[in-house]
Amino acid sequence: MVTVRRPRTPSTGPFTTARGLLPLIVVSVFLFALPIVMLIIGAFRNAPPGLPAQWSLDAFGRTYTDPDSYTTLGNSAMLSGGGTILATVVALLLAFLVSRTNTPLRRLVTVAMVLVVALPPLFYAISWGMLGNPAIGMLNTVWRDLTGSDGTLFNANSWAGLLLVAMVKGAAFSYLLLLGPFRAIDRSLEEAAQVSGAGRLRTLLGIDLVVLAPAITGVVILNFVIGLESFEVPLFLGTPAGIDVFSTQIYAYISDSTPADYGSASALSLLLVALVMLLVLVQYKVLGRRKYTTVSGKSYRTDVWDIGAWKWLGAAFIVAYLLLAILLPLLQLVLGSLQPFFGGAGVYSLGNYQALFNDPATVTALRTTLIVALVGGLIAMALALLIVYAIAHNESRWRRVLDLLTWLPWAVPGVVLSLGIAWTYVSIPGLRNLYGSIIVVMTGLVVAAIPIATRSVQPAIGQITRELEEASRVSGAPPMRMFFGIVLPLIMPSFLAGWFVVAIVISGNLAIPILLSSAQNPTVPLMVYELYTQGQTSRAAALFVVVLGALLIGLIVMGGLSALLRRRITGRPDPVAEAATVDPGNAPLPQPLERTEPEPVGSR
Amino acid sequence: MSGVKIDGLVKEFGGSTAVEHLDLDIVPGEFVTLLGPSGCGKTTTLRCLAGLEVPTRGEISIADRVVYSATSGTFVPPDKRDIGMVFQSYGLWPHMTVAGNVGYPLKLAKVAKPQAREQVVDMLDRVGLAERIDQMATSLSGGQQQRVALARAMVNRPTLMLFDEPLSNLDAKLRLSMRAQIRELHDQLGTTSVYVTHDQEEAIALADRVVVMNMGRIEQVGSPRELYRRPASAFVADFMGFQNILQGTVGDVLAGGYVVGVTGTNTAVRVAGAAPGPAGTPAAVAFRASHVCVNAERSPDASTLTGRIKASTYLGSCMRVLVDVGGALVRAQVDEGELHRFGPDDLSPGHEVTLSVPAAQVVGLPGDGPAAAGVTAPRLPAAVAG
Repeated sequence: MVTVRRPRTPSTGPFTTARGLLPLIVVSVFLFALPIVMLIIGAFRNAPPGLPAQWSLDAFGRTYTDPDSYTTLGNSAMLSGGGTILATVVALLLAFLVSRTNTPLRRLVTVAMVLVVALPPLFYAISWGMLGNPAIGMLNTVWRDLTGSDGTLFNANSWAGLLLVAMVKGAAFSYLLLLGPFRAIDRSLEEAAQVSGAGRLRTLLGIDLVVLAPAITGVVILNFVIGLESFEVPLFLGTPAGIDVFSTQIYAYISDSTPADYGSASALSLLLVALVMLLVLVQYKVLGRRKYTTVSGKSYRTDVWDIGAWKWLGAAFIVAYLLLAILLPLLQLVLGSLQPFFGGAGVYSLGNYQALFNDPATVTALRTTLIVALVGGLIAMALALLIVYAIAHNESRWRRVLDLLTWLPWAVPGVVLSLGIAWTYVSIPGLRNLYGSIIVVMTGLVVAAIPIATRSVQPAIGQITRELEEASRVSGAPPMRMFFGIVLPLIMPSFLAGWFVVAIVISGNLAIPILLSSAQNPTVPLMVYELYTQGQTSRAAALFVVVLGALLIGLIVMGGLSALLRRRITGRPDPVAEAATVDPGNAPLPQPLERTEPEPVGSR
Repeated sequence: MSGVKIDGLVKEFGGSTAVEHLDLDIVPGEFVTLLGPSGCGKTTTLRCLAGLEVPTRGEISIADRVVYSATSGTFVPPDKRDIGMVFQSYGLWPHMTVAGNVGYPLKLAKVAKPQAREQVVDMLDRVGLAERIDQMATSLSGGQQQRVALARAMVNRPTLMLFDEPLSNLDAKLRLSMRAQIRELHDQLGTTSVYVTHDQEEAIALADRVVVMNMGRIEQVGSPRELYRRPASAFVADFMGFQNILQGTVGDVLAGGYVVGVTGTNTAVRVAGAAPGPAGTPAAVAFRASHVCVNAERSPDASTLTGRIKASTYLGSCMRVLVDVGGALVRAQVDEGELHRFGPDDLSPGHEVTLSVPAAQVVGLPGDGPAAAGVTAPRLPAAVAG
């Protein structure tokens, strides 16, 4: 008897066939899609996770008829919209001052912006909460000392505070996104306008802004999405003032109602996810395919516009931004951490730090956070690397599926993600034992970090020409040997940089542990939040200063390591290593992985 | 014993066919070039040989070992094919030294370190880069990098060497010396080589046998001289640098030759050899500009053509003239040494000249009919210089 066996499609390398992609798709479905599916199912069930329940629309009825939900919707729109407008205007002004004028201090701005992007939102939440404390915040006490009045200059627990912090953070990464296009504007367009008789200002408004319109639109949508997803800042500054946005309301449904109202939280989450996905879709449709042809990228002539006395105003603007974004928050955080209790002026001591390090719980939390950040960061980077590599090499239609799956974490805010993960781990019998363990927290943090991780390895993978891999295969290297011997060493500098950034993001993340951590294994951000809400503000500040100190040490180690690696790789500037430096300057937007350019890391 | 045997190779990408039923036998030690314009399937064929693409149908064997067979489902991955390959843009690993790059295949083949080092030094000696052994590979110049790539591909003495347009990134002078080096190494080491290029001069200079490809098919296989002197189709003639390809029909059949009447004109060209068919059969003729003899005097004769100069371009070594012969455009060339035979204005546009083409230098081709007009249509006068 003759059996006709249909031969399997042979593969020329890892991930080239649909079969090779299968494990990654399974993992991605489990990590990225399952929590959302479970969230949707949960929203239609009438009991909390893990309990017997019936299908019902109760939660939707409750949530969608509650006028408070629409107040929340309005607040979210106001915060995202207002923050976006302010951030974009400030970013445009700064990008203009830096790239086109002779304003003093302009060279400081880009470095400062990278720092602002890298600092976790939690940093701004706590430091501005302290700075703008109406009774004892530094801004107000100094104001009173100076003027002799007993009024309040600025209350951070207000719309003004929320918008200010949203502006500071949003301006930084909008700036980094806009600087590239700003620098790359084809000067001949400007010269043509000037030759035609348009003045400098008119050229700026009539030509440059129009040419930059696609980039600006992208930044605006991105800002809006990030505004909708923000959690830490509204939680610290909005909640005390009674301003609830989507993310904090979802959290409140679980933390403030007894029993926790998982149904309403899920129903509201779905609305938020739907909104964000709509925006992401709009962004993809409107901008994803378009090439900024008007920004040619070839002309980098640096003719600086002498703006005369205006430059001092520009410098003042830069100083004001730096004060608000870096200097004042840092100063307040450090000073506050040295006070026995926040507001106890005059006496400074290391008492808070001693107390922290004498408390085994804090030390455990620090250790847990360090391990979760490093291990979770490594897992996120490895997964991102495999996904990016697979999408770049796969020849089957399934790579689109994988590409789409990696979009999900981007469109799902942290609180919603942790809610979905909670549903997943509590509802699925085999996984229930893990609930509350650090593994679940880590899973959530890894998923939350995936968008940043993918975007940090992507440019490096894109820089490796196919010939480098093929040469290795032809030389006799099996696929895995090729991957570890050629691909991995070549992308190592950007892999390490990405790992570091992802570790920062993980170690500053509050939205995931706030719902998934148990009391036994809190991470540092959760502990900071608890100390802060218990009124132990200076202790919370001290704990956060410790985290910043650890980051600083990490940064120094990273810097040394990558300098070493880069020197080893080649004598002259090497394209791969160059691309490895996480350069947010030339990044339009998150786009499908197959053609994306890098996005500033830590933008969320 | 065979070097490479390709049998009915088909490669489809999505809906389009890159290689369409290709058969080719290569004897061991032979140097074969695949020549054709971009998109003709030559590189795809090479990548199928390397195992970097999985063919759609057919069978490939290297040194009598089947490396791909659609019917039996055999596919030997590239790392198990015992081949060496030189890429267009070198493909050197920037994180390794020259020695690291060249020694990589030996490391993978688990050759003992001292012996591997010896082989690396020997190979680098052959390409003249022994003193660069410990430099980072990408710190070298383009030509040096390609020599390192060549050394890496050959260091483990593969049974088959593949070259994917290895010289196209180098400047003209380097190309010549590298070309000689590649052929020399091929002869010294006795490998079988398949070399892809779009440059006919390179193909002719290097190969024992040239395979001209067009739209996924083989147009003609032959020795460089055969192809250069007797192209079998208008496409090959055009690719081999025949400046004049005229479509027509067979006219009178004479003893030892025949006449082709050029379509749309009353011009006739004499061809030596047997006619492709009786009078009226579609036929074409091809001849080189350098074989056209130009005369300023009018001496009407059955064997000459009379025409009016449309354009002329002085190129230093020669004068190129484009002549309108009764509606057909003929490109002719007058060497610098011959220019003294002409008066100052004799070769200016508008002047009448007589042309003669020795029948032995005219290649008779099968007529393609009107469909092939794209290939054989007279070029614009601007192209006369080329």
